[in-house]
Amino acid sequence: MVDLATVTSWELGKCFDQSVLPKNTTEEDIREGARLAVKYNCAAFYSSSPYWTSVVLEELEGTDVLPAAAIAFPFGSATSLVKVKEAEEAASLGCRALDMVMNIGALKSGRSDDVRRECREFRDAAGDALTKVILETCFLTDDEIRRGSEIVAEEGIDYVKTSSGQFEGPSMEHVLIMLDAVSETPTKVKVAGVKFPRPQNAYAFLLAGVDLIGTRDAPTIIDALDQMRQIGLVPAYRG
Amino acid sequence: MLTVAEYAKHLDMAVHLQKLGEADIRQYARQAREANVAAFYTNPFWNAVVAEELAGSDVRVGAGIAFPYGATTTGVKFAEISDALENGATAVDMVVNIGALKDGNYVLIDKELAGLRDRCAGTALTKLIFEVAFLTDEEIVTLTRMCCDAGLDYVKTSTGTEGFPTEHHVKLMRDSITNDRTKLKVSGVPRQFTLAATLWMLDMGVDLMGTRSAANLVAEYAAHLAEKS
Repeated sequence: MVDLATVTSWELGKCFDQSVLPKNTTEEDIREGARLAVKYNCAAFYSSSPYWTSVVLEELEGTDVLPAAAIAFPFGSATSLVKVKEAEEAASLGCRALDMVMNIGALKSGRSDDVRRECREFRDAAGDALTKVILETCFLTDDEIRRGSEIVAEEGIDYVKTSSGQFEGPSMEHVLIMLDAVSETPTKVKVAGVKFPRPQNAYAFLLAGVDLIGTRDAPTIIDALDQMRQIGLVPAYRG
Repeated sequence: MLTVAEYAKHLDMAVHLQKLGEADIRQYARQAREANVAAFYTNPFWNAVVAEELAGSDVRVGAGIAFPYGATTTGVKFAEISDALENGATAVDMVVNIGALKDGNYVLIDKELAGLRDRCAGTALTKLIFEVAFLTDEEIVTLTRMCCDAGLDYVKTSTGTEGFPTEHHVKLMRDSITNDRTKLKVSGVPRQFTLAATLWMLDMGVDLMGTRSAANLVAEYAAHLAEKS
């Protein structure tokens, strides 16, 4: 969890995963997004699948921004075999962070073993890459959010993530349940898919204790740091 | 005038909501079976369950490939097609890589079309989903011709998740079909397909309509015929 009183705008960049995910994304969109991720010192840059990974690698070369891809995006309703194939391909192409969408239909059907297995197989397929599993909290009950988060943590996934950004975003209540569910484990929480207003929402989630924010517009949020300090939402800089 | 049975075979029932669980999927599959529509589509994880529900019927087991984005790698799409066929799929709808189309990467698209056709040959119907709301007229015409050249069974308008097809899109696809084999499937129409809309589309030359309300439409059509006689 970041201490917002001690970060500069540049350091704050590492709390953000920048992404370009729309289905009509073209090569130029990917290149522009990746350049922004570098400019703002983001943690990672995501495309919606490994299809764009070679282009992403080109743009991120020589930086410490992690090349990243989503897996089974945005539905998560593929078979585990296909998810594994996509994760393996992404890892072998050079992705260093992978976000897989959980099969929430299986979760809601009480098929916890299927969900557990796909998390485990995904983790193994990802190799050394950071692993994150997306819940899509807007479709889940509080109990399902907790159970899903617990499975993700128990299977040794690095992050449990709220949303794909394609549907309703997460609420603060959803995020607090997730934080609580993984609090005794090494698994961290990533918030993504938050709707407007953009900058202040992101800061509120960071203050709540999440480690990463996924967004298509990290620059706007990071640029608002001074304004957030002015209005007192974020503590003054203590160095 | 189509009989009820004939009308039903112009409808594909499609339920792609990712939040649906096994019980919902089974219930929808039974409705599709009872209405005896052409096919019942869900997301690939459920293909085995759907195949079980539809066993012994002539309702096809449908699978959406790279649904609804279409933006993954060719290798992943092919793996998903093979996996779906193994799990009993007899109709396969793949989403085109829109970014590749817009970047003019026709080599990749041709490869994906041929791979879909070859893997499904003799087992499953092949359909390519365009997502027309994101495409220019020129892109729609080009892609329709490519599908015809590849010998796919259907060109299909939309996934139903983003953007809607218009009458203009549908007519453009219809008029760009270059052979007798490839037919037109319309899906992703806002709200529900009404009975009147389906009859209008059939008149227009649409062969298949994909919708969650397929079973209801068959019932409405049966009532409509009963009223007329």
